[in-house]
Amino acid sequence: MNLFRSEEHARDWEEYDPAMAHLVRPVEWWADTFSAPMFRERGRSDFISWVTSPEASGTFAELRERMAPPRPDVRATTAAAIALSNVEVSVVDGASPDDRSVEQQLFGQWPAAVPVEIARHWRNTARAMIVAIPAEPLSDVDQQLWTETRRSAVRDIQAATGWLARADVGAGDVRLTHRLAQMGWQGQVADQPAWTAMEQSARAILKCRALAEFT
Amino acid sequence: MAADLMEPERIPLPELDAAFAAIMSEIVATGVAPHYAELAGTLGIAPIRAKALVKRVIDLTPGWLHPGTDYIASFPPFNNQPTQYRVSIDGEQRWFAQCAFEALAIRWLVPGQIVTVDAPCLLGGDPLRIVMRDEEILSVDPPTMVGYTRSVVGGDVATRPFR
Repeated sequence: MNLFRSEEHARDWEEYDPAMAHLVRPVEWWADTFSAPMFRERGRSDFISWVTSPEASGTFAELRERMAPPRPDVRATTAAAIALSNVEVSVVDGASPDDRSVEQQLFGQWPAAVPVEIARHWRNTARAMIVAIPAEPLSDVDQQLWTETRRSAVRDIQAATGWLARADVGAGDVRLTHRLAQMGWQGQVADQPAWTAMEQSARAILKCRALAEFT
Repeated sequence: MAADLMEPERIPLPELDAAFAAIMSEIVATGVAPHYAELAGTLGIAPIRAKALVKRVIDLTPGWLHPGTDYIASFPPFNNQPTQYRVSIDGEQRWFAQCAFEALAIRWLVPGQIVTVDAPCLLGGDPLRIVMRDEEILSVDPPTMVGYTRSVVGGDVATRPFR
């Protein structure tokens, strides 16, 4: 983060990015942001133990949430949803033993409620992740609402991780146990047909040396 | 030393805790992060072990080594390599912050002391100053000052501090 004399100065900066306009903030807001436990706890004698714990992962997820762009309304127009989906490749790590919990998160609190095991590895471990979101709702919900929510989730994932995300790698099932740390395949493929497409996508991503190659 | 104990992910957390605390203590006290050979003396371990600890600690935190070297370039909230964020503690300018974000977090490491951050505006070069102590932001000059990043928090390490 950089400092500017005023909001106008920030917006006139040659590297200003309108897509990140929500992060032009007063110093007091940033000071409050950097009062999070992640920063206050650095003086403790067991900081590394703490920062690699689920507790710290949770606080980091909160920080990402605070700095995320305003979440689009899930009832956004289809056109807006499609625009949001213009994200090509992905990142992923996913992990939830419970399809239903993932579904609930997508509708409710994403990305703050991202499973702890995902958040824990976001920063320090995983270089590649696949977040697969089913094309069809897992329960009896409106198809359009589901589609728009998927788009929103993609954008939120991208904002939260800095990675590109892809929503259409899988269909029918979101049970994710893949962890593609170090760009290597370490996951277990679940014993169900829906995994086939997902696994193929994941392996295709792994073959790419650069995310941009995967389109 | 067993080879497997040199593997980064096998290094016990207590050793990493000690290394992190020692590096942070040194940089808070002097403004400079120790070289791994100096850290070895502090921790009473072999330099090669200290080198492994430094690398692993850096991997687990938002700092970095200078590319192609074993030198700690950034150890947030501080920067070993000078930046435009000059930090004074109780009036003495000896430290640099990794970025403006992290400059605001230095106060948590020096409780009760006054932390002053001086930096130029990236657009016009006008001098900017923030003064803090613990929970208080004592002054922001000019009061219109804002912070801005074009990077997503936790994003690409190579661009993190600069954008």
